[in-house]
Amino acid sequence: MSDSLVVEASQLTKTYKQGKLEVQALRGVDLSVAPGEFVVLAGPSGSGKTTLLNLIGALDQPTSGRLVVDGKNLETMNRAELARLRRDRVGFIFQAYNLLPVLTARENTELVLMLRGSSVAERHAKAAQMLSAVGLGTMMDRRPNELSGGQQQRVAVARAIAAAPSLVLADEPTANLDSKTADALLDLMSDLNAKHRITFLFSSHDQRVIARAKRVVYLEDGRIVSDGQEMRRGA
Amino acid sequence: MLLRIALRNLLRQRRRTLILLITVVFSLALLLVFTGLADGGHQAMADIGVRMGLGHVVVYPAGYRADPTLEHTIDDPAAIESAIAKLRPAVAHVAPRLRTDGLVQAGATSIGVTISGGDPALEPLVSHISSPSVLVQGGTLASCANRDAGELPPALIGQELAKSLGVHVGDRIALNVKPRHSKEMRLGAFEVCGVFATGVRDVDTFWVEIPLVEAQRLTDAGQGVTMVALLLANADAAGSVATQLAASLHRTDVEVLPWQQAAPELYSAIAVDEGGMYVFMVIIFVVVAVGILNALLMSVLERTREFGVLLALGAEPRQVIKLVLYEAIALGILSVGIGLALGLAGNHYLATHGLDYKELFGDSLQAGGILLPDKFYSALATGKVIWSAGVVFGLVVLGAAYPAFHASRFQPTKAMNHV
Repeated sequence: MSDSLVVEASQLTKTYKQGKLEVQALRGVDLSVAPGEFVVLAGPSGSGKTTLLNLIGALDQPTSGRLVVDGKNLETMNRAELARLRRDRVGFIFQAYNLLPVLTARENTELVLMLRGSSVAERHAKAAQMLSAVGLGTMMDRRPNELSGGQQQRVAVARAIAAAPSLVLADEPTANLDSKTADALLDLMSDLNAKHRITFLFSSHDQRVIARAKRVVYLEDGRIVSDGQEMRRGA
Repeated sequence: MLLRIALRNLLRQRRRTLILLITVVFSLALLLVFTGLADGGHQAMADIGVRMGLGHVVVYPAGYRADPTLEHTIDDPAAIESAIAKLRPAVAHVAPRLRTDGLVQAGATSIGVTISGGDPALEPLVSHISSPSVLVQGGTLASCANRDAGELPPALIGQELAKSLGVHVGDRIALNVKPRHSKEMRLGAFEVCGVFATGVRDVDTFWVEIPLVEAQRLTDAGQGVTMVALLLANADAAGSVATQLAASLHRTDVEVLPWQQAAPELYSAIAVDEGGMYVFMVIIFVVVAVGILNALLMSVLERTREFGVLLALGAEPRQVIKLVLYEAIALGILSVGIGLALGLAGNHYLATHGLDYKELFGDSLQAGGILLPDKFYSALATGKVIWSAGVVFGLVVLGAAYPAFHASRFQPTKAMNHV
């Protein structure tokens, strides 16, 4: 495996307990993502897309296997180190936006920078720049309940990229958006990927998203059944 | 920014914040008012006890407390008084006394009493028994002192004793005592100069006050006294003044005691009451701690999803703990501030207007055998205000510790999926 890869996963498994039942969400996943890639994890519900994203985002721990994110082996890291990895290296865009309701768009965007300890001036400048980039320069002082779903997801994108992460993970980012807003959001993320070489890793079963991806990884029953990159390599 | 989030969270849950605020404010205010009243009551108890034939500090002849007879006297009270003089202005007044047991007789009635000989001019400055404030008939010893030769020396007796003897001001009574170094009883005739009602049953029923010189003459005590009582400018200094005086006298034939040791039953009564106050304090503290713990835990659980988001975005556990603690600190500052203002205002009112116990409960209050004044005045020490406010504030923050820790341990994905 190369040191320059953003994600290196080998033989990842994840088993959940649901009551007395054991559910195998991932059954030995190998995945590599290079810097600047725009990858979609596709597959039906329950195929393991969100589980894989959660593991890569250090939000959860694998049952077995090896996982390296931005050169850091997650297996050896404690709770605080994992938190710092998420803060410094990974940006998150959630299906339900997950903005803090008590904060304005600008404050939500500043959140990760604040957790990192950036100065107030730096946070203000960066948040203004990011919100302008996602087309919300005039709505910075609005709270989430004063924004539409699409606008909230744009704030979530601004928050995810404000701290210049190596990798942005997006779990079904267009699921709650109408098609026009979803297209606009995809345009925005494609643009950020192209201009700033930010690596994006999505989970989605939205065909519009899959059609825009440079690489599509299909999962079924916790296994990768096809990888666009491998297909391209094979071609 | 964490502080801003904390403040907005408090404002977001207005009703809960208000309930918490009211709980802490009223707990602290009540605590301060009750502490002030209790301390005021204790001061009144101590003051009454001290002024009822005792003193803040008392110098006894060695052995007198175990065997309170005229076999133990201080025969050079002037030497004691000159040592005391060096402690002024901490010592406000000094009263030498000769006290002995005896019988008072009037007609066919004879009753065992304590006969206390005091200086007619000095004694009222230290003891209420011979002061004009408690007289219900006649005058003080001082007012009766300048009598013509051949007239009987004066005596003050308690109201209940006067009733038992069936005597009034101007009547004659006889005191029967055993003089020092004598096995024979001696009789002395006195005229009732005044009748007092102190409210202390034992004093009003079994007490006779006579001039010191008359007591010394009747008992053949010479210049001897059985105690020298000191009234201090500051009652709280009793222990230190007693220690200083004992060191200055450096004598083995006398013992110097603060009132707490000279009247241990009174001190115990106050200590027991203070103990009750501490129980009340603990109850208040538990109410505050449990209230805060419950409310903040609920608040944290309701925001599980938001804490999950914060943790997912990279908040370290200590930052989540800080966020919850900031909420508690903000709540603590506000509620303790208002509670202090309310409590101090209540105390100020009760310190100036007092609480009329008799009017409220229809009867006077007794403690340690002492009838307390009908009106209680609050007396709250600054140290107790700081201590109470500090403990309540500390409990508010401490009550947030578990919810804060709990929030910091959320697993981000589970927390974000929390409904």
